[in-house]
Amino acid sequence: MSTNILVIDDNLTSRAKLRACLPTDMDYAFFEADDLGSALAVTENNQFDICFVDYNMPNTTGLEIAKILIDNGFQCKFILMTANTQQAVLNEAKQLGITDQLDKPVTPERVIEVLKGISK
Amino acid sequence: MKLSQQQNDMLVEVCNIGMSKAAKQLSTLLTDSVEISIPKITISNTESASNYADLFHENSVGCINLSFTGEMAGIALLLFQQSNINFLTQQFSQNIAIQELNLADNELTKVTMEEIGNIIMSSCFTAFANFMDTHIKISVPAYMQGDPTMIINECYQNYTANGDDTDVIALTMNLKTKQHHVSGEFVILLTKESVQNILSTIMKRIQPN
Repeated sequence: MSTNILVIDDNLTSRAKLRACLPTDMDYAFFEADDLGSALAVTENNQFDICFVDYNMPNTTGLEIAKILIDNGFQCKFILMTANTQQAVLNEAKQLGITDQLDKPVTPERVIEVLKGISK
Repeated sequence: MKLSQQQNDMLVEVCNIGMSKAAKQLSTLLTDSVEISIPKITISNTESASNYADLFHENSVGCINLSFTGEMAGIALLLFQQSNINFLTQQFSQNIAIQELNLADNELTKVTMEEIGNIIMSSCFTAFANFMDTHIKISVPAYMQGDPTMIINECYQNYTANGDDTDVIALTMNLKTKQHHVSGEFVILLTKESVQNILSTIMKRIQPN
């Protein structure tokens, strides 16, 4: 069964990097959003299994976007994908129920590790 | 503002904590060992800011800059020799299907360097924030390239444009990779208030009561 993956990150190469690091034997559909507006639009008509969300984004942080999506009833497994792992950021994520983390720079090995962790 | 030798040493230690994280990230990105210089602490103003340009052997550099606010406030600049930029971009995007991104070369360089700067500088500020037990708000990075004197002056003047006080504390460190000879300068310009906050955090740890 195909896995629907959404990445919310303002940086194009960061989104492409994640896609390039996904396991080659994984059956998935990959969707992208670069801000709050596009995240709201793509989640309106699609269901997702996994959502990778960046933190440092212009205007609205990735976790603020995640909160808005969750408040709108959007359900999926969120993974915080950032190099900004300040304790305050991790605490904010935890408050939203986001405990999985993928540190940047993203590597194929780490992506596989995180995906295995959430499938348990 | 004048720093005593002890205050200077304290700042060097804190600077080492953050800059070491930055070096580790550069090392991971390039799969290469990174050597870091001892951090330099200087009092800087508009006139002296351009002196940083002397650190570069080329008359064109690529610079990723961002601002940060909170108990630690200021701007950070990560500058690489222009000749290193193509290598950095290629290394970062080596497993990416670049043609699918549909970007002109200069646009690809810009977004890639912004992401590289984001990764390196965010890690540095994470170390600073966790050390100070606080949250440092970081802006989205911006990339520019050109003459180092002009770039540094522009960043500096944008930063001090709204303030009465143009004196800042500059923390500077060189990052150099062993195999690929990539050389970068990481410059953090801090407000005096930030420096006081850092020193006060350290003093509390040394003398808790």
